[in-house]
Amino acid sequence: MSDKVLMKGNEAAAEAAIRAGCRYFFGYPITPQTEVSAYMAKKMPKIDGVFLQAESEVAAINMVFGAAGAGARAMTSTSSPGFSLKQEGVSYIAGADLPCVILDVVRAGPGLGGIQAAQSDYFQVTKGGGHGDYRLIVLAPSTVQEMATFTALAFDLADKYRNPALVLSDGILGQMMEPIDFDDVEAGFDPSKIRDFSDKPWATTGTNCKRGQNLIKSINTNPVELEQENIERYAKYAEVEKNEKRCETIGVENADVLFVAYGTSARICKNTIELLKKERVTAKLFRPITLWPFPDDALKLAAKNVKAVVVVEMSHGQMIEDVRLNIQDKPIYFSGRSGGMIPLPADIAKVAIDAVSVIKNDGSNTYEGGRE
Amino acid sequence: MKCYIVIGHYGSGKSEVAINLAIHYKIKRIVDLDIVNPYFRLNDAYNVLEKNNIEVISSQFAGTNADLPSLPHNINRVFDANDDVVFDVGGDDVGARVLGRFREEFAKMNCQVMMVVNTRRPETSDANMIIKQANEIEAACGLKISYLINNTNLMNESTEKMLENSRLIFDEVPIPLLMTTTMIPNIPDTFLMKRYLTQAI
Repeated sequence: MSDKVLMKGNEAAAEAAIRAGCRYFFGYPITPQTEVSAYMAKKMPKIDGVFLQAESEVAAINMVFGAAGAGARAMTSTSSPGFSLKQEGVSYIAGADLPCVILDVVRAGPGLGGIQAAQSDYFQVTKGGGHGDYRLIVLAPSTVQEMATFTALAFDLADKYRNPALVLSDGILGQMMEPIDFDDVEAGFDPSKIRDFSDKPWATTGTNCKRGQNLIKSINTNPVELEQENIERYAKYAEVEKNEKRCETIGVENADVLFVAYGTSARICKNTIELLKKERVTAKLFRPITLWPFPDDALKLAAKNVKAVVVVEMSHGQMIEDVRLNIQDKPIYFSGRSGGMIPLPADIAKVAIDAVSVIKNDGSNTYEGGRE
Repeated sequence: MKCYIVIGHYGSGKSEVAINLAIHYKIKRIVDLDIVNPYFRLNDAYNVLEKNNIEVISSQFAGTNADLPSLPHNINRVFDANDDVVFDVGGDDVGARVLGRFREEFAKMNCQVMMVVNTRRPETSDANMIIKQANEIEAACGLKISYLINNTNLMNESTEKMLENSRLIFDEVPIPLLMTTTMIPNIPDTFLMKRYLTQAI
């Protein structure tokens, strides 16, 4: 008998954070991620942890800033409009070279938008969003299991590179329930290190009159020094790009069509591949797991022998810009829905079939399908 | 008039159980009393309920994506009428609190309060946890739980063995077990469930 439990994606991420040593959670309620806060509110007091419902998203991210500066594994979670609000604090945390984990359970926008799932935060999580030169390490789960494993992984990567890491989920992954196994989530963290920050010599843990003061800050009014900090930070980002690109390729090697999709869209593409078999169109899926660093070389390799590339997103096309940067010699098509609408396999399949037939005629890559 | 009140832990399968019971026992009215979660609501199964001639009484905001904790405006006619009715209540003690509003009405009715339990949910995975959850819900709603419904499942990964093991847990809980549900056909002593609200993607 398996030891799996049935959990919502939001609950799984919260439980994984606790198992990864997070004892400081600061949140502000917003649908569809409120279960994360609710879970933390219930669990944290029982394990000598801190749950605090802040007065706003801005306050919550600045509490994360403080806890991270003191060396703790700290986390906040939110949904799209809330993440927009947190951007200032995220920029400060990145500018102070602090590790923390942010979970964004994306809902449809722009503005207040709606409470149904979307993938329209790609730009704001991968291209900065806040001010200044910085990057977030972005992991995109596509199952409830990955909501857990990637949240735990995000803590490890954040600590390793002293940089904020973000888990990009969506309203579907947050709300849906799936069987999940916590065995591989637990492996990464040493529980005896929960209050031991000795491996973070930069943290403001108190000098104990034994060392000089540690100062956590993002301000530097000396342009020469500030530029140097940025140069060092970008050297760190080069390391992240070298070491941490993650992706998955699914399907037959010599397919006609390559789908590029992450998260929920990737799940739908898997079903679309099956559907296309009936139409005698072979397709495979390239799923970026890290959205930054973007797995560019692996994408080029996956696209090598296909006739067309179809990018599928629950937006009007954001990741497609990174796909276009990396693939210049193939027609790239787009299939997506927005506003909380979900792309259906039949709609995506139609774009793929049209793509293959368009190429036979004129090689055009301007076709945009999948929208009614 | 009989009334069946379905309560339980968040994500235990209350709404699916409520819909299955209404359809199977031909109960012609079902009320959505969830003021906690805007997702997975009875309105999502409106078509199948309508096809079975079951009237859905729900907040005018349910299923509209307006994240408003509101009650159906026409709920009082449920208490005035003589028809049997199923109440689908929100999760945990937080969701059950809404029942307190109707305590006097329930006191006049022949009520069965049924707590749905999935022992594969981490917070109701053993007898002590189930009892704790039941106590919290009873304290919040002011009603006594009449029966438990064993809705143990791991969705498509459910097994017969898992059900057998779950029955042992319920043996230790001092609240009578009304039924054990499953989506696996041909298991003796079970109520065969169908999925109406959720589907795999």
